Amino acid sequence: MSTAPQKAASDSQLNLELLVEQEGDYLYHFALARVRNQETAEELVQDTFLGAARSLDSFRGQSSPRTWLTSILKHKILDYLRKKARNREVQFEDLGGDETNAFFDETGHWATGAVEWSRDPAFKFEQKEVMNVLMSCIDSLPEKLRTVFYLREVDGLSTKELQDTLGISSSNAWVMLYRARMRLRECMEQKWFNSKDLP
Amino acid sequence: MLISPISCRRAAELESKSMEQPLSFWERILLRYHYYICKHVCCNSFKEKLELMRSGCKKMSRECQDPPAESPCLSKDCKRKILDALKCCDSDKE
Repeated sequence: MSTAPQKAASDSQLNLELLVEQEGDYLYHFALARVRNQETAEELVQDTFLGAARSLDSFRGQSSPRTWLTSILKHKILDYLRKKARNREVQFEDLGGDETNAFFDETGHWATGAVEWSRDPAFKFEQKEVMNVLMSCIDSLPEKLRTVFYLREVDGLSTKELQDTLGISSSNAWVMLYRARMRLRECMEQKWFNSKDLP
Repeated sequence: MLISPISCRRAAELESKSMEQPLSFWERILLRYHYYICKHVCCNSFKEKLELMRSGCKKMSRECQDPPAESPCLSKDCKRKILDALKCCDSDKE
């Protein structure tokens, strides 16, 4: 009888059934953050595990099972978004209204409060609480901005790869990233700094 | 009195664009001149904030951090479907 916790990976051997339990929620959140549709996210996670089962031989144990599964999922998500953009199910080119107008006055000068992040010694991304605020702020972005921001800043796609995947021009990519960054900055200041009395 | 040829808004747009590609010579001059003249805290700290957010995102990507506790989970039904599909995969191989 063994009392040791079950391990999903030992050397190059993987127990995918156990990984469904251990990594399923993480992968689901990863997918949901990028596609924002529960059913699609579930399908992508399922495809990921099936893809992993077919390519078990390629797992060498050099990275963690989570990293390996995440890289499979990333490809599935990019394929999905590419297809969606190609079929024009989502018009990433349609930028909609510009909410960043609210951050400036009519002369183009800053209208919102000024917070210097460096004044708060607790504001460090090494702190789990700060990371949670960042994640929740990214999650609160509108769908298109969130997808573009995740692909660029979290998944590390280049602007060119963004253009190819989502079928957008480089100037639209810049505009969307600018809007996403402005909203994130505002969200971080509201959620982190407004709850604190800074010196 | 010195006046900046670009607004804080345009400066923020250029700063964000510079995260994607190098700015042109003229854009860099405009931005530097704006910062020289504009004393608004938002302008002076905007670049630092963009870089901080980028470093936070890179950390998120590097560490494959668990989602916040309140995040939605993969449904039991979906987990069961995946397990069933994996079993089918196994039997196909055999």
